[in-house]
Amino acid sequence: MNISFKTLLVAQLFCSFIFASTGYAQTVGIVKTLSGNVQIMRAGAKVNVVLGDKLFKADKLQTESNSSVGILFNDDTRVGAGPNTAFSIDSYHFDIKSQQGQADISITNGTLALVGGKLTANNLDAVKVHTPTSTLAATCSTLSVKVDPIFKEVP
Amino acid sequence: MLLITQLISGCSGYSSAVNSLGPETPTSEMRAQIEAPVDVAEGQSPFCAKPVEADPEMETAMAALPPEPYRARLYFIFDTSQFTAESEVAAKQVFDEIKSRQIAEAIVIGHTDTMGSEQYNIGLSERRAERVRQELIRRGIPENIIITKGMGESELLVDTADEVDEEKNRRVEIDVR
Repeated sequence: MNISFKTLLVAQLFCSFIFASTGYAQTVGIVKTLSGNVQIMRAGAKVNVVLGDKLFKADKLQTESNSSVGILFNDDTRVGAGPNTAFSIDSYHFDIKSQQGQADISITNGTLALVGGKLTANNLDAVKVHTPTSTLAATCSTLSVKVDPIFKEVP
Repeated sequence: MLLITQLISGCSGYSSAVNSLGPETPTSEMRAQIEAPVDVAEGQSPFCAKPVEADPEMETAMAALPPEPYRARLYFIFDTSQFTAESEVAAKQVFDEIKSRQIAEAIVIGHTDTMGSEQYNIGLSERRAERVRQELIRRGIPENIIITKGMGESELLVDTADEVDEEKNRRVEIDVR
């Protein structure tokens, strides 16, 4: 695979207060907002996302044009993805008792906005957003990322 | 003459100088004036930082962010599943707020104080959670998205010894996501 990416990253960080809440079950998050067509790649299968869908570790999501999706994670971290966005939940762990854990989200294309929850409230480095060229820590609370592949070379 | 004028006016460059030996605070009135923050309107100088503009491409992603989860706590009269007078009033607001949201899940967890046996308190906390569940159903929240649980006296809000009448522990916690 010979893919050249030039990424343009826009990271905006703001501090804001976070309200606490608890998380449940084995799922890592839930689809809370949805518009247009969004697919989820899980265990080799591709299915359309429906509002209220539960998400698991290693899920890959892809939004089509004019589409968006919003996810609420167990620790109250909130993620919004814009059109033509591909991202995945590489890892996610949140311990309700200790309120600690970590999360890794990768974005390969498109736009992603993130508002930190309990994970970032307890550890500034707990939530990381990986792009093709860098890793961003959602240090305080709000983070937005844009990844533009300027050109792709297909062999 | 021109050179001298330039040299003198060049002194205004002093405002950006850093005194690495002395204190950072201005030591004279004149220096304070010079070092005061300059209020320059946007765009007047190429050195002025422009406010960060919202990227229109980010708007959809921002709009897709789910609303913040809502959490509420309601208190009960001793050994009952009746709200206290204050919570009776608060309950109306809480249920109105929940009704106004597009919720995917409502988690209702009942608790008691340490009066009575553990076993009895599990039942009591379940009845409290059930009371809230019925209120939610009555307001049109779908039954299948409400999860209830009774924790008895196992998760005290105010830590007390056994057999202590503590009003803050007689509660239901509602987590709406």
